[in-house]
Amino acid sequence: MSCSRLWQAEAVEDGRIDALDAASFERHRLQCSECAHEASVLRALRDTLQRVQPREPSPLEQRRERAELLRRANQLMLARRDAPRRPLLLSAAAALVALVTVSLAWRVSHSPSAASTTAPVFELRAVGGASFHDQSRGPSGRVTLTSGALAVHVEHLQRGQRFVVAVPDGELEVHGTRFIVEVEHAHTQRVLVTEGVVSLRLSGGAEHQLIAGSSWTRPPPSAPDSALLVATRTADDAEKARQSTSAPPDAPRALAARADERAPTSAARLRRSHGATHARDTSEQSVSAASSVAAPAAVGGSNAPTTSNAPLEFAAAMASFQTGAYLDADERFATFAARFAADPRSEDAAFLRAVIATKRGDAAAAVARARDYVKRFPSGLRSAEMQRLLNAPW
Amino acid sequence: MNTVVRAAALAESDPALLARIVAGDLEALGGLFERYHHDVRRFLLRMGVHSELDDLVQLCFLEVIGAARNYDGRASARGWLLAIAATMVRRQRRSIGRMTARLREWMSSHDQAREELPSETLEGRQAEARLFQALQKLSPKKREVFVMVALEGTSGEEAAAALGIPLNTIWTRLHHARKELRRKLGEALP
Repeated sequence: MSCSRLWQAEAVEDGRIDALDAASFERHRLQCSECAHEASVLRALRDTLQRVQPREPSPLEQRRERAELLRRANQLMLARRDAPRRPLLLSAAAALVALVTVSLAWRVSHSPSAASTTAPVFELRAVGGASFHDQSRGPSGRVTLTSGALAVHVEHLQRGQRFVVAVPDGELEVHGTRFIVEVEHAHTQRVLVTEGVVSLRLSGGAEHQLIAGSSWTRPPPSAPDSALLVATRTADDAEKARQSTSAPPDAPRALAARADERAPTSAARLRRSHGATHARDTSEQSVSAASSVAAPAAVGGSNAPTTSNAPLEFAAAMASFQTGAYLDADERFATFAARFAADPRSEDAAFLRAVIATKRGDAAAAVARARDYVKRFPSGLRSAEMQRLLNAPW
Repeated sequence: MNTVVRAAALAESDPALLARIVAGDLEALGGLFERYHHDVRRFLLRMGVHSELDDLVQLCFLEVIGAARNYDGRASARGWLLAIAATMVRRQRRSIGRMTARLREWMSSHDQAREELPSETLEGRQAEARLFQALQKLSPKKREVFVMVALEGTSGEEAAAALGIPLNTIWTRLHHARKELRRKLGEALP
């Protein structure tokens, strides 16, 4: 007999599940001998290896090492300070090289194809439904997102180029990256960065640097500002939030459906490349989820699933999963698995769909998904856990 | 050294120390060394560095002089320093010139491990040596994540940022590292 919550032992040990789930697991552990054993083995592994402490140097050795470090640092600094005192010939050669470089840079910066005058290349994709305006002018890319979720990919920015996503309560400065931003009720709800770096500046708050793999989620109103970074809403919070809003639980789906009515596909994509390759659009361009659907045809884009979309779609599903929006996550994982069946992450999607069914207490769905996983990935990373789930006494 | 100056350096915050290092203040570098050299040394040893250990600890702190300019201002520099140490280990691993030393180190690792580990009984020493060797047999990528997160207590997010890899990769490597260690250690665990 194997417990379906066994996998949580490692998640708790890693600190990668929220406090509510961790507390729930701790309570469960008191009654489940298997989970208790798993947790104790993991703890013992950590404690045993932590016990192996290398020999510490004596205070005398430490002092000697410190003195030696400062001696070497001093030498290093002196060497740097002495660096300009080179023979005259070398200095002259360096000056000549610098002169040529400056003159070349000046010529490049004043040529018509200079990087600083071209617009940044970026791609926008409404996740589900979104309302946004493209207000890019010259080398400054600027998109205003008023509501909904938007997946953004900005190609590496040249010198002089900027790209900013304005949200009702602040802005995100982008440094060549992929990320998703979601706005609801005039407030930024979450930001998930999959590549590069994004600076998040919300009005009245400090600037947050989000690097690849990290996310920011708006905490509940009572939480202090320091808890903002990589904050994760619990499943209960998400459920309460869902219940407290006037919109029905399937509102995102309804929004996507509305977009579908107006366009042949829900993949709302807009790819812009200004300057050299396309005529500049100087007037403010207003784009909504529906109208942006037409954009790919205009710029030669394609609505067919490409592998470049896979990371964003998976990240969006993960973001929903991590914030406890399980219904939405389940739908996204299912779409992902259908669209990118050959992608290695489709195995994770299959696994996480089984986890979602377990979390929602839907035993039949959990078993069906576990069976599907084992069938599709017999030697998968999570096959043992899925097997345990299949054998669980529901 | 003046005791008052030294005490002041120890009371200072990490960002303040780093700012003084940028300005060329060697005393601040000494303060940072006193605060974290134990952590850096232990991390390097757990990463399997034995020969030239002292030298590598010093190189990590010398690297700080150049890197301090890019310090992101986080309250504790510990994770940041461990990331520098991880980079130094990777660099050392790549250096062909150190191959011979590493080969020699590998050949005598068993004896060294026994000398390094403090224990009162022969059984204890042997058990600890076995644990240490199991750790060393992990691939460098898994070992660096396991040591940083599971043993040094760095958060997954911080390790991901420090090592420049996605957070999910951290969890995957950690999972596989644990799996391997459990298989190798077997009955040593309850």
